[in-house]
Amino acid sequence: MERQETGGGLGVDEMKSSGVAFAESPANRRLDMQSQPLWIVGPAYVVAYVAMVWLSLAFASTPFGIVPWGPETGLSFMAFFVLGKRIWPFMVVAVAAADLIVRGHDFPLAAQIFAPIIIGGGYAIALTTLANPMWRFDPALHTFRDVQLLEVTAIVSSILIALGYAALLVVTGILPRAEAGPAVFEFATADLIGISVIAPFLLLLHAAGGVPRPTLENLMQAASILAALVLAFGFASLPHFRLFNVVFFPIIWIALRHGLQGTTWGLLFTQIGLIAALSTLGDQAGNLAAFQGLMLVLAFTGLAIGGLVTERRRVEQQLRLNQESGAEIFRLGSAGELATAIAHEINQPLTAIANYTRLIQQYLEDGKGDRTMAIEAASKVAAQVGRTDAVVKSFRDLVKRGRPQIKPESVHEVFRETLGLISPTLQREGVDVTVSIERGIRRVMIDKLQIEQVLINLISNAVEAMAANTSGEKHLSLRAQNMAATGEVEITVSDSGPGFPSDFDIRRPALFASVKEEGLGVGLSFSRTIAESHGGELIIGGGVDGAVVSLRLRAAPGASS
Amino acid sequence: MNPGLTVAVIDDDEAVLDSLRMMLGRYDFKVHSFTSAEDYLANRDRESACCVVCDVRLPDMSGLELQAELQKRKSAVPVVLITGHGDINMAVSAVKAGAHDFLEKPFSPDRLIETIKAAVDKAHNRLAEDRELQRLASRVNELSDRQKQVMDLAVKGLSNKEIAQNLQISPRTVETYRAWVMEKTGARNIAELVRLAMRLQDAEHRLSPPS
Repeated sequence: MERQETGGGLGVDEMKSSGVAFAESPANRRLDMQSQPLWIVGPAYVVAYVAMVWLSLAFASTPFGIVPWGPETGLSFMAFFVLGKRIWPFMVVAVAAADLIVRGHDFPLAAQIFAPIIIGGGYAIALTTLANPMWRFDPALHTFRDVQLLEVTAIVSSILIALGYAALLVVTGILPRAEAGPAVFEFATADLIGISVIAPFLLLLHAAGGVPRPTLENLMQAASILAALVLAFGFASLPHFRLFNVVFFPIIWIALRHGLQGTTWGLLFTQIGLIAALSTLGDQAGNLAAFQGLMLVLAFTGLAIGGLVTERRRVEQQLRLNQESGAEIFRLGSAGELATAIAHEINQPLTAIANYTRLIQQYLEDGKGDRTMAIEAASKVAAQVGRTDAVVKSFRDLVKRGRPQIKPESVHEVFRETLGLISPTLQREGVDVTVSIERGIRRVMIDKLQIEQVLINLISNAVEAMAANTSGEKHLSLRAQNMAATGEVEITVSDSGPGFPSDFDIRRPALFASVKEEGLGVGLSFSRTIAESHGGELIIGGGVDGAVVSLRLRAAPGASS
Repeated sequence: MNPGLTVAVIDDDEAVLDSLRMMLGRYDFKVHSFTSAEDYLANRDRESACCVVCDVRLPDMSGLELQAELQKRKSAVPVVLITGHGDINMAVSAVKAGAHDFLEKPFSPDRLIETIKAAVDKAHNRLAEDRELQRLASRVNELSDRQKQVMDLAVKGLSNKEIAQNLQISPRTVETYRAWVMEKTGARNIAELVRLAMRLQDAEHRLSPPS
């Protein structure tokens, strides 16, 4: 089958030829980490891990390498989900490397061998358990439940591993038995705090695909955290520990306003400030462990509120999408149902018209018969034509859905919201997704809801098309790039499904005889109508190894988003 | 044109129902129209139709369920299903379950008329055949037990002599009984008798009262 040309600047072939995702390109802000070779990402992770241990030790160090926070464990949590399960041997190696290079323990050999196995292996087991499909854990922390699952895993695994590690130190004679109890507490707190502060931060940073641009409010929030820390630690005469509670206010403010993602930033900022304050004050500050305990409560509280706020916003967004889209239309892949409903609606009046017309025809043919009846039939035909017209109009109104509100929107946000809405479907169908947004992508002039509907529809189509190939890999990629020549932004959805048939023509979407039984034609035709109402266009292409649909949209004047 | 043919039309769409009533009426059908399957079932005894034209998708009882209900009631009235888009699977299973045919909306009026006629003809033939078989069955029932035994064995292909041995009667008596059997059933030769016996057997299965 001949491949249709779809891209302006970039041929689609180039993208598909890489097999799994797109060809690597410096323009891609986020590369598909899971498809990077292990020999690159594995050592990279180990280096980052060792660096984090070094950094955290540079601030505060205590015997046995226990520091009041363990950001490296948070890194491991993120690495496991972003790089994939295959990273687990490196989780053992990373602990060993950090012990050797940074901590420089002169532990007996048994401890040097078993400590990495207990710590690295322990967290690998915990994360493998969390990743079991049974839990339906979403590493992008889409729901409050995901946050809870992460925290429960962190609590259980950090306590068990702390117990194991302390036991090892006691058995090898490094740690006196009497100190084992407090040591377990400190190990577990350090790891737990590292996981709670760092893991959600990194996971969300990865899911968002970049650092958001701070607003004035963000700066005020950061300033208020700083002010709280100065109040708590800046005056020798004031009780530091009790005043540290003031930090709850900015964290709750952030959680309520910005949800989970903002909270992770706030917590990270607070944690760094706390460590800086504690290491400056030294012994004057008081009990390190007690501060970290409070920090942990702060993290749990912030994440809980942030998680709930984010989930609530998502539900609201989904509700809005459903309500504003008129009625049934586009409710996550319902184009097929819509086609059936429209066909049924139109076939009724058509049936009646055919019957009435037959009567009139008969009257005209034999010249006799009932003239009154023929006239009655004719007026009824007119009524049924009106009815058909009304069906078509309402169908069109569903697409138009009132006045579109076109304004500059961020492609990042459109992608994030769209994937947020459709991720349950993608997970259920076992589709893996690559997102790639060109650095410096411009904002687009769109009605965000409509374009999100189009994307949901395109993605649903792709998922349905791929559902057939049960053996093969199900891969979906979403990509956005600037098209400098036309001043447009091109959003491309490509899949690893069977592609479009060679005779498929979007200009003539066969309403009731389409690629899929349920009428792909209608969904695509809707999407095209919406694209064109935005002054853009929708282009289909791809070959037998997958469909490629490109949506071109006008870029907003001015700088990139 | 179609004198005396009464058709029941069931559709919840008023326009479809009205147009079918007018159109079929113009072709000399007597039309009873109903907006629901329940409505039809409640009134069908008062004025029975030769054919039921029914929409597949109906509120409450569907065309498919109506077909099953009629089957359960041992009704011989043929059902023609009409369907909007998307109900084809449903219609196919209805036809498998015994509906005469289905038409996809919008259908041509001529096609509907042809289908109704074919359905009625088929039902008539079936009815005539059933009546003939019933007559045959009652005549066979007039035979004595001994004569029925002779008939059963003769149908199995046994000679008079073998039958006589089997039943321990004289070959002469067998000959007489056999002549009675041929006379009662009207079969002209043994081949015809075999065919009749087979049809009777089939009919026994089909016409046996519901258990």
